[in-house]
Amino acid sequence: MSKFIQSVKQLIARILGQSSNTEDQKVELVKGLMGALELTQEVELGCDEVFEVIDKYAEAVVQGVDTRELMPLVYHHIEMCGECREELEMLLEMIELEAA
Amino acid sequence: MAQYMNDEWVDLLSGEPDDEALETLRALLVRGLRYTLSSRVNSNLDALVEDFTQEALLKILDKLDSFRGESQFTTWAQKIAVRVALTELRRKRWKDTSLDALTTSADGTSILEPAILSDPGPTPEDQTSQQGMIHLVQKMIAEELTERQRQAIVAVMLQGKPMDVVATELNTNRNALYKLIHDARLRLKRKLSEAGITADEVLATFG
Ligand SMILES: [Zn+2]
Repeated sequence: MSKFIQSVKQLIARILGQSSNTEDQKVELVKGLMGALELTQEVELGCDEVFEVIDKYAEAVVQGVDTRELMPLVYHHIEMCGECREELEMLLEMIELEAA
Repeated sequence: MAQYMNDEWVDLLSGEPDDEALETLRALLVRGLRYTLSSRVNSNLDALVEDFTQEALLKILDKLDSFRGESQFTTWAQKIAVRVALTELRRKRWKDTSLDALTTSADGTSILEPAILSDPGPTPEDQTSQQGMIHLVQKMIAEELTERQRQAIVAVMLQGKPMDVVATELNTNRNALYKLIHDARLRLKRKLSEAGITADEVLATFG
């Protein structure tokens, strides 16, 4: 790596190091982590398993089905996983556009 | 516009795809992507919609065998387009906005060592104080998690990096990364309960 990039990196590290309070950082992570632990279940689905059924799930949501009751593991994953949640939201928008 | 039943879709798109069916599908994806992405990107919308549609169509034709008819075929096709678009968009966004490239050393480690990974030091006098709780969690992270689990948790939960990006960095995929983090959460949860404390009680000390 060039000396220039190296020194830019060091500069950025110094600036960020000065401006970010490490105690605040720790508190934020501990809070986030504890929130996630509270929701943690012994059995959880992975993103692939959720992707397999997310089309069926989305149609159930549109039909007003209680998905928390009917597909609790998918419901839980959607709660835990920002990526899958975002994908469900976008899929719902597409379905609703076609239904309109 | 032609409307097909699920079986018809699969028949028409199998082998050499029927022109009209392919065009109908293509139009559906373009419409959906344009509508949903217009609020999510602020430039190059046309080019992105075009690229994502193309990539999604290839994937859909390739995966046709795996469609089990548990939803409308169009919903199934749309979910593939959504996955293609958001995966790509998250990578682009992270690349464009993060200092990651500048703050990552040649060996892939961050030169900004997150404070939570620093040496927890001696146990504070009052173990039920905020300081005590932070110390306990830091110690658990240091002692109970594997290096890979630590990297994953810090990247996803502390740095807010998209899982698609972290998965690539850790030479894995999003599904395996989710499971890696799930295992880490389970381990921490058990350790916490062994220490006679719940996540709720830790949170309570932070008000
Ligand atoms: Zn997921």
